[in-house]
Amino acid sequence: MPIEHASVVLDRLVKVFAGSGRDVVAVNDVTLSIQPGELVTLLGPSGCGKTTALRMVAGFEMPTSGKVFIGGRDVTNTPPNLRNTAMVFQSYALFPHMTVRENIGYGLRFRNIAKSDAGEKVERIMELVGLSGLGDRSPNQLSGGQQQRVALARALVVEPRVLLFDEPLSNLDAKLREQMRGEIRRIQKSLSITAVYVTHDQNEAMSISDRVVVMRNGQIEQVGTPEDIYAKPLTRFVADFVGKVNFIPVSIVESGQEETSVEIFGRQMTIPKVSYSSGETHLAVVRPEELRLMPPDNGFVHGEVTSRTYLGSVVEYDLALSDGLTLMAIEYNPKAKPPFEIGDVAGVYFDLDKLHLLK
Amino acid sequence: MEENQSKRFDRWTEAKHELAMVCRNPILLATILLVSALLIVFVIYPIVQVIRVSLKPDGEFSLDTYGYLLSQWWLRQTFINSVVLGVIVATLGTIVGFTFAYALNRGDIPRKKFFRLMAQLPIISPPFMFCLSVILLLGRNGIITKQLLGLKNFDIYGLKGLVLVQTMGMFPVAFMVLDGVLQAINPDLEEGASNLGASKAKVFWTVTVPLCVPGIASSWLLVFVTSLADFANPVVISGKFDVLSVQAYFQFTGLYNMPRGSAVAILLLIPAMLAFVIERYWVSKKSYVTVTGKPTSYRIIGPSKATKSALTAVCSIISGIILLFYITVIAGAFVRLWGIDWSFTLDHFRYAWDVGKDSVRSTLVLSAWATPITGLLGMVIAFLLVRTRFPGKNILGFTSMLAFAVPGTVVGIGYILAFNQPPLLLTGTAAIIVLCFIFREMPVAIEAGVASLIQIDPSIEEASTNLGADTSYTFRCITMPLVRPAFIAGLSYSFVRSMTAVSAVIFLVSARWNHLTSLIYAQTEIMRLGAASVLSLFLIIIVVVIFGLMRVFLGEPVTRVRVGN
Repeated sequence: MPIEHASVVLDRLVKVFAGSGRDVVAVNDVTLSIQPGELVTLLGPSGCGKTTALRMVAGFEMPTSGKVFIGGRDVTNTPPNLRNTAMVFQSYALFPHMTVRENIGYGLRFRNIAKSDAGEKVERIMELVGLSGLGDRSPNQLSGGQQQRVALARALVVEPRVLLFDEPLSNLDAKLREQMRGEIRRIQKSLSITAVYVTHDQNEAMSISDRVVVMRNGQIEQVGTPEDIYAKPLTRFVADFVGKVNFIPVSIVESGQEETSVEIFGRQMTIPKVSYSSGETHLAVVRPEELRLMPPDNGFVHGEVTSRTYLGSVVEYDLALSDGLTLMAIEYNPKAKPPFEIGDVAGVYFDLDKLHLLK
Repeated sequence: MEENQSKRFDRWTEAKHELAMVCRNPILLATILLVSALLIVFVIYPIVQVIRVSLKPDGEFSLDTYGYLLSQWWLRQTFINSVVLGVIVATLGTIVGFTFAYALNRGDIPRKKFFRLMAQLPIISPPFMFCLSVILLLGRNGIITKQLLGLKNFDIYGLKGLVLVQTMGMFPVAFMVLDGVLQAINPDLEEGASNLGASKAKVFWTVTVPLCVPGIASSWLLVFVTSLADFANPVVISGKFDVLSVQAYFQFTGLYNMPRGSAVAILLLIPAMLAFVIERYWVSKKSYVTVTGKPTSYRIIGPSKATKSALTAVCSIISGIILLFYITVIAGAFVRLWGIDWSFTLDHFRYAWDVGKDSVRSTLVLSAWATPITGLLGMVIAFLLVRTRFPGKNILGFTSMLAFAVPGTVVGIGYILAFNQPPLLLTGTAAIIVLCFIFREMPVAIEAGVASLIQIDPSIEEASTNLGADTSYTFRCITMPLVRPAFIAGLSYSFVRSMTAVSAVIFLVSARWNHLTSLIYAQTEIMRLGAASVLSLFLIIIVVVIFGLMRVFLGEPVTRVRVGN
């Protein structure tokens, strides 16, 4: 299926909603450039402006200021029906009075396609998303997962220049969600359609995206690959929002040529060179799975186990340190080691070579 | 200060953006402009004309007309009469309406379906019918007053007769409001109170009634407005108890005193508007009832045996009276001369058919024209109000709902004054009546449309535009099929209202385009009560038949479309 690859550019986008009490700035100066064929996720808590940004790409909202470009063309003033984007809605938004086939074929009515060709396209897309044989059903005779596939097929069949996803999987149960996100990724890659995907679920964002845009209060906090976002968060908010995290204070003692001498847990240690000046204190982002628990006399510091959660594949520990800090540690393969019990004292160790410090 | 200014600035930019958003959608823009133009010409302009004529009796601005109204005791009395009647009927109607609503929702009374039907029947009953029955039952030759009680000088005409017919005819307005309120109040609240040890009476007075207070206030005001605007009942049965709507009619069409007729109409408009605005913008905002979409559990604490019997008794009596009214009119159609010659006859039918067949035809034609246009226009406006944003939307919403508040008498006079010269020379035509129907019945169609649109996930329509459909295609192929039940309900209602309209249409009828109700009025005037009964019967039959046909051909209005996930 030949699809025109289109870039999407948001240029200093602002959206203010006039509220009854006071105005709400939903999107505050967002600039973002999405490459043709790329899948970019807008990730953030509810109210961060991600859906509003998406709706401005679709044309449902008019930006208060700023511009939207699709395929290099300024579409800020183009109505939604002429933008050739296709959205998969959170509620699926299927037409309840039409069959599955009519739903999927709906968008083709506006695209100068011969009836027979349209029918063929619909059948082919139904096969692609795994809906063969369900064409004559009505949407409310389908399961949630099948409705989701109809919504996806309806968006794909019009060969849009941009696919838009507004939390499409949030109404599915966990297992189906994982399966569907795999399929969405596969189909999007195979057709190499540009896609913008909105979600508040960090796992979904990580697993599906080429790049993740973390948003907060209408602004972009960080843009990067899933690996960047997880391993090198720029802000405390990003580190905290994406995955579980320990923040450990690190004081810079002296910066050398290749190494920096720092103080952690009251102990002097050296880490690979960082560009912060001496005297400053920064927070190090240490993921729970980076922590190693050992017998009490090993490690940088020791803490008392205050809780222990057994989750099958992993065990999560909370530790209280003597200086009041609490740490969370995740140990994989619990069978391999004798577990710590609540009240036990454990030594904590982590690899200093890849320590990531926040500004 | 500064914050205020920045807010105003943002309002302004927001309006500018809304405008830009509308402008890039030519069909939407055209629709908004067309609807606004229609509302200005057919809702606002006539009212302005009434005000203008009342203030410029001789082409010059002057308050003389109002000075005259206030200086004449009989005109002052008319105003007082209208308000007194409104207050009494609003109070009684609300009590009866509440009793029905409470009995049906909490009272655990038997035969709920029957009582519900009885509490709604008066709404679709033809005008004049209740008066006619009351005259046949309690009038000078009334079967109860003369035949059963042998009273010689009993006079039902006046305040007591009016209170009786209006209360019976208008309590359904209160019932419908309070029925909705009681349905929405979670019985768990009442159960909670009784679990805490409150007696049943205490639960009623400390939980149920306080929660209903905004609803009670709403119904009171709505019945008040209805009573004030009523023309059909007072014109027949008010006797010497003069009210504004009738006075305006006689001043205007009887004495050809247009300025005075207009001024009386304005006196009628003021309290009606006041009550309407209070209801809409103050009382209804105070509602404690929140619609959660969660079905309330129907574990209702049954009332005590005595309460249950009392409720059943009251509902039975009221229903009995309504049924008696119907039976009386049917009987009246077949009796040669009520009160004097009780022999069976079909003469009234022959006579009524002779004088009425043209009116039946023209009433049907007029209503048939008005109904679909009303329904469609109402739905378009509902769509604009719920689904679009544009500057001035609130004003458009208020104007389209104005017809609820403006008494028919004012509208009738306004239409005569507004459309009696080119380019809008419409007096005497079918068009003026059809237009009057459309803009008077439209609020109901809008309300039905709004209620059903807000239940439909807006992303369904967004999906349609997103896939390439423009606004008008989306409206036709997505919105309309989804709101079909509400659309049909709106159609049925506006048809009935057109068939039974009186107060405005009585000004607009002509020899060529007469309305059945104005013929019934004429027959009642000349005391041909038998013929009037037959004509009322015609009206009832037509309404029932058309109602049935609409259901058969357009589908059941109550079915709900399951929408979204």
